[in-house]
Amino acid sequence: MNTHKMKTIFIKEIKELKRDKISRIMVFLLPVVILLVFGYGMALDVEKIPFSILDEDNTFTSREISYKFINNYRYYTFKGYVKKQSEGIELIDRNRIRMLLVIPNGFEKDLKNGRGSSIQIIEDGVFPYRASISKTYSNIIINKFNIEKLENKNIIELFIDLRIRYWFNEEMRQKNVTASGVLLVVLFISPAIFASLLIVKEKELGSIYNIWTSSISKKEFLLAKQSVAVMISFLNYFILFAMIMVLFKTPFKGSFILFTISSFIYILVSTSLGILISTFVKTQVSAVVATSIICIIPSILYSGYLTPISSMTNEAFIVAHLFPNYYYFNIIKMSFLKGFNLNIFIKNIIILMFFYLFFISISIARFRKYQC
Amino acid sequence: MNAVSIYNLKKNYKKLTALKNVTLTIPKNKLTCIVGPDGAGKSTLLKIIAGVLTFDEGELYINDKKIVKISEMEDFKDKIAFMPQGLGLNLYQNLSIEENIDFFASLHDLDKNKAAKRKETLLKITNLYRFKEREVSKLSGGMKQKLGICCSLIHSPELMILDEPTTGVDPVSRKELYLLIHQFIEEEGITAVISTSYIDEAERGDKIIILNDGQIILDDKNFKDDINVYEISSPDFLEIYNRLNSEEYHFIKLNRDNIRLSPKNNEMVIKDWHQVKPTLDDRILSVIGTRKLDFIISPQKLRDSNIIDIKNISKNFGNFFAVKDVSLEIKKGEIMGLLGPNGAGKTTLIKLILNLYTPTSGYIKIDVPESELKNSIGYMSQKFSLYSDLTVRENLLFYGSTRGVSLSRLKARVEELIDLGNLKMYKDEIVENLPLGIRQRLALMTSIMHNPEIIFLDEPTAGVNIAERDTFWQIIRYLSNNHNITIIVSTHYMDEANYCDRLCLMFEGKISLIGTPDELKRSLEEKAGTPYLIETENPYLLYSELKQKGLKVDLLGNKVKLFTKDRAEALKNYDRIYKTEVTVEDVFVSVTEDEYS
Amino acid sequence: MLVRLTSLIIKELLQFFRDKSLLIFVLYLFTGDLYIAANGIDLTLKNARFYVLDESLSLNSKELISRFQPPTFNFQGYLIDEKMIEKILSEDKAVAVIVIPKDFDENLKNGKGNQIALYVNGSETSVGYLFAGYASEIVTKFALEYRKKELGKNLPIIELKQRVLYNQNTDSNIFMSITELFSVITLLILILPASAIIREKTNGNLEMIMISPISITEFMISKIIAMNIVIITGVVLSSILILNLLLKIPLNSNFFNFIILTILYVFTSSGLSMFIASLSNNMLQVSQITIIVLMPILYLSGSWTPFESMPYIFQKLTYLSPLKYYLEGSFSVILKGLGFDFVYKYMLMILALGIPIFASGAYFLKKRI
Repeated sequence: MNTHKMKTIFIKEIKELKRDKISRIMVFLLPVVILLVFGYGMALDVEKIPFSILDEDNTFTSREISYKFINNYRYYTFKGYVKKQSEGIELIDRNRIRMLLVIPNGFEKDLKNGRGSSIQIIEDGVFPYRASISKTYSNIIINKFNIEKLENKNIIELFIDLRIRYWFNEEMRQKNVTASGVLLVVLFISPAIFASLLIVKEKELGSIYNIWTSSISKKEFLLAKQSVAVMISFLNYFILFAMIMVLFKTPFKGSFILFTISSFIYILVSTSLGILISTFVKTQVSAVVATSIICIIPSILYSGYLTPISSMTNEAFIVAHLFPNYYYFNIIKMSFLKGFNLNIFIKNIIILMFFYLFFISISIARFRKYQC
Repeated sequence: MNAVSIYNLKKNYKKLTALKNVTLTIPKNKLTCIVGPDGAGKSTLLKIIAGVLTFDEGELYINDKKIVKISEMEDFKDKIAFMPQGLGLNLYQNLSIEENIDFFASLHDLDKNKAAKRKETLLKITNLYRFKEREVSKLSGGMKQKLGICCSLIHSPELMILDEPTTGVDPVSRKELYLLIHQFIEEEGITAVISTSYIDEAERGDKIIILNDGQIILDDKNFKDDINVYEISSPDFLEIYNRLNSEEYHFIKLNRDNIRLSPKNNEMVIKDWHQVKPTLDDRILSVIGTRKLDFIISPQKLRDSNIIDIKNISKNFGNFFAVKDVSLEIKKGEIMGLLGPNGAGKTTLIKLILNLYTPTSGYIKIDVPESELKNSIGYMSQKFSLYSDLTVRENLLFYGSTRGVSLSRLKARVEELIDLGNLKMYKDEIVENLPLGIRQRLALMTSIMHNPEIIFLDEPTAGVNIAERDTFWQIIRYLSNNHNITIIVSTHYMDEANYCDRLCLMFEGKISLIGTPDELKRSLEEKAGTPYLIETENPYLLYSELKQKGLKVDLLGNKVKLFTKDRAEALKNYDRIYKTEVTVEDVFVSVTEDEYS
Repeated sequence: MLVRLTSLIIKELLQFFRDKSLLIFVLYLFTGDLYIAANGIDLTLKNARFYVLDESLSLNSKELISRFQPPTFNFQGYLIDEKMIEKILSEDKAVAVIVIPKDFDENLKNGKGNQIALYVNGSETSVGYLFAGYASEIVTKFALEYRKKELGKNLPIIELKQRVLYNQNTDSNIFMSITELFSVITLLILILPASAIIREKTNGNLEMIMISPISITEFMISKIIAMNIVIITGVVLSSILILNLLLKIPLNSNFFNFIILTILYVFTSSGLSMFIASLSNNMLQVSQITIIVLMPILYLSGSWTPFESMPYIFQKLTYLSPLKYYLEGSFSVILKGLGFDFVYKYMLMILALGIPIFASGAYFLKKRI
């Protein structure tokens, strides 16, 4: 390999980037925008659900249970009483509230008579995930209420106590996962787009002929281009890492050096994928569109970022293992949540290296120094 | 000794055949010109020689080594330089002149000191040294091409391949480019191959290869079979022209004041014709033939009233004057040619008349009611301005309906234009798939769609083959003579200036010369003397000698063109010398050189 | 003028349909992409894998575990060693592990307190929380029923009944595909008119337009109308193919309101597209600026992050997002089946926000041309 020729390409790219204001902004702005949008936008925590109460019973117990909901400020925000069920449903329709708590007539009486009693929650089903979460919160409140009552009446002393421990993420802060997981998306899409543009740009404008007619080898050319994309993306990695720590205050449990190494390898993978895509497309616009579509699906759908790998159907489970994103996400989760484990680290790193070698060798094989 | 030999080369792209059975050799240490219109296969041929394109059949030898697999070309890549088509497209627009050269130098792994020295030499020869820190995007077309050549020469290649380096470059810069190439052939013994769509440039090469439609139609070998060419310049030449039967001739070309033709039957005689020496154009036309459109061109009408009156108009962008204090009157029905180097202000002037720019000072009066103005103007812009993803018919319908042709007339009008432009067989084709000549003809048809009074044509025939250009000018002549439509046309083809009624030469935003083509040629001859062609063994040496003596000379392949008033002096010194004619190109070059000095 | 406008629009549509790769891309977005969204992303608890470490090995413990039923849960088997818990969770083999103590059966019978441990994988936040919630519900219910059976009488407890309006099974696929449809519409309305304008600019057709009798306004309007036609057609197509045939949402009279909402939204949002066109010089810049503009719009719409969970400033900003009103209005129409008398307010809001956006976009673009 002729490192001198590679250095030439490298320096030329850096100079061009310095002169081109718009692409310079894009290269650094795009990852930050994705981080902000995903970091804040993928915050799926359902909190402060607006709700109303229809208290048909209007007794001490009904008010007592109402206050259990009203005073739960973290999860619910009380928006007032309604007089009729239809009134409450209209509020749901108008997106003023997401839940209506209905305490039926005779609620207290039934309870006092030793019979069971029931209350109803009416959820807005438009956002199904939010409805399920809201139902869970209500359940917990009601169960707690039941247990307190039963204990007070000495019907049972101690109930079955389900002690829930959230491993790796004690407070169940979703942002710990969504924010750190942004690295998974950003360091995949943005380096890939950048790397593919670096090559397609020359194809579209015609300067690729300089490469075709020179004696620089395919390997030298592609690796030189890749090193530019890797350098810029690596710089972005540090910016993003700092932003995640500062803006989202996520804890970090791994080794920074090892995490940085793994991110570097992940960037190698994504840039080589970008280069591979560039061997298929001719124009810069199609490079941007194709790379985004190709990168978004595995990094969001099949990485375990939103839906756990373990809950996937068998085919999806297998597919997930065929993408590099899953392995980097393992390292992210390990570094930000689970704590360091050398075995898992090495295993995932090796697999990522394989992806890199695979992508880059197909790229080199596919790239041609001539037209057909 | 040949640098490149090609036998029976064939190349197909998906459906399209680019090269059918091409056989040629490129001699070492010589300049070979490959001439042909757009789509003739020039680029395909050059790319194959440069080793950046595969071919389907045939044999390719580089330095007498047979190339079987394209990967074998890698060994030659440090010895070959290739500059692709397009103004500076392979250069990095954001980098400076110097940075570009440095990039090419280190891409070829040159020794730093050597590269620095060579860079300086190259920049000085090309007069780019002063601008070495300027970004490429801020250079003129000519400068970009010169820089492109510097970049291709930095690694001292043995074979230099330049694909249309002169397209979009004005005649002065063109002349300089060829001098530069001759200089390198002379001093470094390189082999050069150049492609061009300007036929007049072909004469600048040592060897000429003329391509048309993927085939070599003319090269040195068949030059000797001579043809008979006649000119008819009697006052009634138009009537004669209208009566001619095109089947009986190899070609018929209608110029402004005469007809040039070559009969198939040698016995044939037409009164008032006189035989002329065949030019390269004539030879090409006799192979590819012309097409005479079936309409009767009426004689030129009397042109008395002015339709456009331009008074002291100026336009500046920042502190740069694109057009400076220009006054010009254009008569109704006139064909006015605008000539000038790149950046002379031709396009700006056209856009000022079109009201696309507002003038900084001065005024333009167009003798058409204000409300009718937009409907009285037809415009064919420099950039191809049709919708290439629509069909011919769809384009015409679109233009008609957006330019006030009433729906009831639209269909009939479109059919009329399809007939006039002879586009019938293409009417349902997507424009993108059509050859350039057809597309340009369609563009002309759209610009006359709404029966405008004035038509502006900004370089309408760039890249079109010469037979197609003749057809084009027949239509323009017809519109001018029969419909009294005023036509303002800018062009880089100097030979096309012969079709215009009057020429206006612009330089740096001002008008340098104005007059009929004959007037201009005569005035140059009066000033500089009679032109002679001198054949010599070493034309470059002779050129430099004469130039140093302060004589007006030009280099044309293996000949030197000399202007002198002292005929005896000329004949005394050289044996192989013969008188030739002043061309509009000579006028142009002379004016621009005077302006520069 | 009408003739000019119509022929401009026809030209624009012809060009759109001639561009095969663009056509395929748009078709993919309106069908394949929605299909993937409907089936790919499911945030509700489905097929949640879990293991059990059952030290009691009693009938009751088995009975409890058997209440973790598919499709919500997916029982993976028993563990024998406590050490395996960490391994399983750290390797993401399961969402949770349930640990039942040795004296579970005994304590249950004696009415003593009983502790079941649930270790939830905190790195799967979205489902982890749901798992814990569902588990605590199951365990409590189990205990109450056990006690009820033992005492032989009803317990004075409150039962929670849930009714989910418009979506009884809390299925995500309808929500996901509709949300994705809105994203697709927004993406296309940002990128299509802008790229149609920039294409004319880079091809040099713009000059021809300038010297022709076509006014700039006609030129811009025609692009927008043509692209609106494309998008509306796409919306109708995906409504029939994806919403109706695949997801079985009935297309009744309300569908008409949905289309009106879409037309209003698309038309006004094209102001943003004109703005993008005024900033760009080539197609590459169009695509890049579109990504930057699109992301905040999607965020502010509230389709991903619930309005209530947003930071205060963003909450206020959502009021400025036409997508928010479009989204809420459309959900009301498609899922809730509400009529015109209800959604007209959303239409008015879209117009109130959209007209200034449209006007300023048109202003910037006109200035630039």
